[in-house]
Amino acid sequence: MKTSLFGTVIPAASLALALGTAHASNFQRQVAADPHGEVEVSNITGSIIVSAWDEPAVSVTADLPSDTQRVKVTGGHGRTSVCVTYEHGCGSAGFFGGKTPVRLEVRVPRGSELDVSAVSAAVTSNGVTGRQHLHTVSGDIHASLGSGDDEVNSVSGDIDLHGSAADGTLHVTSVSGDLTVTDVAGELEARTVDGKVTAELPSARLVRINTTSSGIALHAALTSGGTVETETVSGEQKFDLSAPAGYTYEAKSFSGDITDCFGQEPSKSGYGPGSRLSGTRGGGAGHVRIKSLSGDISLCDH
Amino acid sequence: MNEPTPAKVSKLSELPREIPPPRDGWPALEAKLREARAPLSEGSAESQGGTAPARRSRPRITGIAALAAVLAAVVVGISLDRWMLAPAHPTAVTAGTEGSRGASEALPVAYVTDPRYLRERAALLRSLDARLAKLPPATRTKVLQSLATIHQSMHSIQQALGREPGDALLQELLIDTYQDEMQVLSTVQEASGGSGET
Repeated sequence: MKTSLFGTVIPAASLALALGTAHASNFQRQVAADPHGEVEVSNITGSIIVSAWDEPAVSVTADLPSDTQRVKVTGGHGRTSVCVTYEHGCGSAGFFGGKTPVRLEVRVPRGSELDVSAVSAAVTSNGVTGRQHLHTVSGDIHASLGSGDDEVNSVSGDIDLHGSAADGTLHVTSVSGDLTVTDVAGELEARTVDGKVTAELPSARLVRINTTSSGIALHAALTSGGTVETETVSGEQKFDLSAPAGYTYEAKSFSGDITDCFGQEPSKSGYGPGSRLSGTRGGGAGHVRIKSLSGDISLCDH
Repeated sequence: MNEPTPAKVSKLSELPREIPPPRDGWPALEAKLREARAPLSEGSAESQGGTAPARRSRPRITGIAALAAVLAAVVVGISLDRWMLAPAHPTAVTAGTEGSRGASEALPVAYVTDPRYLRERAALLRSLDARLAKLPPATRTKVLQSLATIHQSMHSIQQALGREPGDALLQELLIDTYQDEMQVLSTVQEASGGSGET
């Protein structure tokens, strides 16, 4: 009996396709959770998408393309843990992962405290009002924040955060990722080595921004007595700061140009480089202190 | 024996301007010193084979030591001056560990003497290569470039301070650059240390 080439190849290909489809099966699990409990989520590569709902439960959906990858969901005592596991357990595939990407979708109670860790996985968080702690190495982070004490950091991933305009505290750190923060109120502390910081605060009580080589663009309305302190080494700084109760300002630079929209001229150091610009707007209740070494500084209150 | 009764002094100007000593003790003291030196000189001459008396060799040794001390002070002074005020050395920024070593060692910290700061900085620099190796290559390059920028800024400010040592703004900016460097090193430490296993 002769068997044609197509007679051999086609069934084999069909079998492989069927097996592949089986591997890419959806994982679904739902566990009861405290409405204000803690939810931990981790994944090495792929994506983590967290959204809030009004159910007292954590729901997990994942696509698992490999036999070696599984999702482990554990709960109890106000704490739920969700992680993609590899041969050696949760997230132990090495620093840069190197594994097949897994898409992980998690629904959590709206008031949960969220703790997300990823390596190259992108992280998205929507609607959670509790404290959020989001961390990636190279994955980007997009999140809407509540009014909690939030902490977000990455190594090289860009960070894009949208606040609720309610008073809170936000700490953001990145080595080389860019930071964008909008509608955050209260306190903001942002730090990068070489990542641009762009921030917009409708109500700023305390803003501290520090970058080494990248620029800062800050648009903020200061509360009475609010404080802004920024510093760069070579990055350019642009400010648009308003305050009903006014503020005093002082900008210093070693070799950068300092300009403002108030008609003030910076005073130069005696014989060498170095200049300083200071003044008062309105009642002078707030304080603005800006420093750079070689980056230009421009201050306005449009 | 009646000693003359000292006159009562009512004003400062009534005090005598000079009072001669009751006796001159110096001739006796000088004679004693000569007696004491004579045997010592003889002994020293014997121990040196009578070639040179010790009294003459001691000033020579002291003079050489003083000269050496002055020379050493001059050398240290020149070294410090070159070290602190030398123009910025262009640091090769590479993604490898040599780049980080060059960047870190090119930094003078002469203006900072706080032992705690120096200790912590040294520890961070020691572990910098290992921590940089854990970062993605593009990030590593950016960190090294940023450190190089900080170090160049330090040199520029130090040069300016050499011309204007009392400038408060320059002093403040220099301290800021030290803080900037520490912040970069700390950020690298946090990023590499806390981003391994989840």
